[in-house]
Amino acid sequence: MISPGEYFVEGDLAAAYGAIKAGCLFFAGYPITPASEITQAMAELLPRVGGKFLQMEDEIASISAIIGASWAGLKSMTATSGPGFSLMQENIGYAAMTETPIVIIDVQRAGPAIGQASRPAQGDIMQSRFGSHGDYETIVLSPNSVQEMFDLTIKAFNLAETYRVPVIVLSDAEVGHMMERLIVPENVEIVNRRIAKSLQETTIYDESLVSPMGRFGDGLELMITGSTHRPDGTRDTGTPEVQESLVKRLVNKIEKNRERIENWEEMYTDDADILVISHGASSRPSKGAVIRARKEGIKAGFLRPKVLWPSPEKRMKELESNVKKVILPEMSLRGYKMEVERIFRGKLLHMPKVGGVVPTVEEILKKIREASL
Amino acid sequence: MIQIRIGGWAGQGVILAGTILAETFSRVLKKNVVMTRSYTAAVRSGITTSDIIVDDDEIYDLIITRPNVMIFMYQKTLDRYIDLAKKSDFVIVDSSLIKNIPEEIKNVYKIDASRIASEISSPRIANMVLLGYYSRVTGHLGLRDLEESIRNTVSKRFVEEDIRAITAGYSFSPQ
Repeated sequence: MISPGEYFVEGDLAAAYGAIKAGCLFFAGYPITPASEITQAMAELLPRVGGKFLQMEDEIASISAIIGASWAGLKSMTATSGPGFSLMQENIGYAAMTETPIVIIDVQRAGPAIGQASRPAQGDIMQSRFGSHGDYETIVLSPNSVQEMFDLTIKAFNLAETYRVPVIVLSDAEVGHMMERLIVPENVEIVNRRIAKSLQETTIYDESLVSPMGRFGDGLELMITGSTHRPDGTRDTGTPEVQESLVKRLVNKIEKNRERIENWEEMYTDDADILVISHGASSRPSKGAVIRARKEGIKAGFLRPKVLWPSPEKRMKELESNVKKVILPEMSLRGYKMEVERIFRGKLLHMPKVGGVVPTVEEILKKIREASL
Repeated sequence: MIQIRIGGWAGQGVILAGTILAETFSRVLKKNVVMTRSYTAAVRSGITTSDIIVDDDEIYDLIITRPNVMIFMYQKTLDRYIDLAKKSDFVIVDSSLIKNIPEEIKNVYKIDASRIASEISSPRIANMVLLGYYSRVTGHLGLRDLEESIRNTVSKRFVEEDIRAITAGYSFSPQ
């Protein structure tokens, strides 16, 4: 359907192509700038591959519909931006609690509230991990190019299917709306969930703490509830041990597998005095600034989490003992700051840029120069 | 690296012109290209821009910092970006619609794009006339490269008309 080859498309469209390539057969959504192009593309593409597209009345309905479709056995996705992402939070927790594989693309724009609808920002990072109540973990990916909108959307489906969790592709208006070359390869790695053939099978966890998933219509008499439940799905909100073992497993599914999930790009880190950490759109000028700084003889290094949650904690801790300063350019006053500060503490020089404009190489280089003095 | 901004008014085909130019660099000439857009709906009206960054290397800066070329299709857009235009190597304007060009803007290349477009068919293809003229003035890409890109991108019924427009722009002596 999406033929292998070279395209010149915007990030949003590349994400839709990635979803189709990953085997997505259901999309429910409500249009919102700057994610509407994903919704529009899925409306056009899904019927051609035998999938279903539903425009819903709002974002709460959208995420509810994809949770249902996932239980019907379909790979399912929705796409939104800040205001819609906020509305989805309750059911992100529901998907985590019911271990439903779904993909949510949040093309971040400047907030709070309506904010700057068409301008990029990176203020949803903590929300993407902590937005729903209670103890749970999600996986959050951060594309910085049109190619990665495609690649990481496929990866999001694979991770959702592997760990039975909601996976969030946290893009931004810059990456979502910019146009670049996209290479669609001949072959992409696709992961499909293990389907349970009996109710008993749904209670057997592998070493990753994941069990095969039942499917509506297969006659398994599934019980699916957001209330605390036993492994077979039956509701039990009164037994402390049931809640304890359930939420511990929901968290440990990610925590114990984090080294398999973590993913980052790094450059010049071996002897770096100044480490520049950046993600999404702002990582592009950050990398350019590090290369320029090296040419000036400054020992700068670059680290870019492609997976924001779980963060590359172990790698950051290794680097912590060697680097003197850490610069974090990002389009938010909060962004990823708490996570980086947790590890690098007083070494962090936060470099937020708000206003809906991506920082430039020159601005970041100036900060690197100052830090090197 | 080449940094280009095309600026006009909603409905003038700024985004299409930018897309064709960006696609020509990316798909025909195999350069790395980032294109970003700022726009409103034609019915709301407003300033529309299309920014293109071209490089042989990986592209790091995602926004225009020091333009090499600015193509203006509307007076208000020129007025908005005078400071950037002062720094640009080439400033190409549709002189049918832009009459007031501040003296401090150097390297101005004027073309009566809307009038030339009207003579071919309609002022709506002034954007294509400007692309042809851009090719002639800067030499960044050839007329044939643009033509190939138009054939790949534009709906079939507009291809011949658009090619006539870029050819007319290309044939115009720089002034």
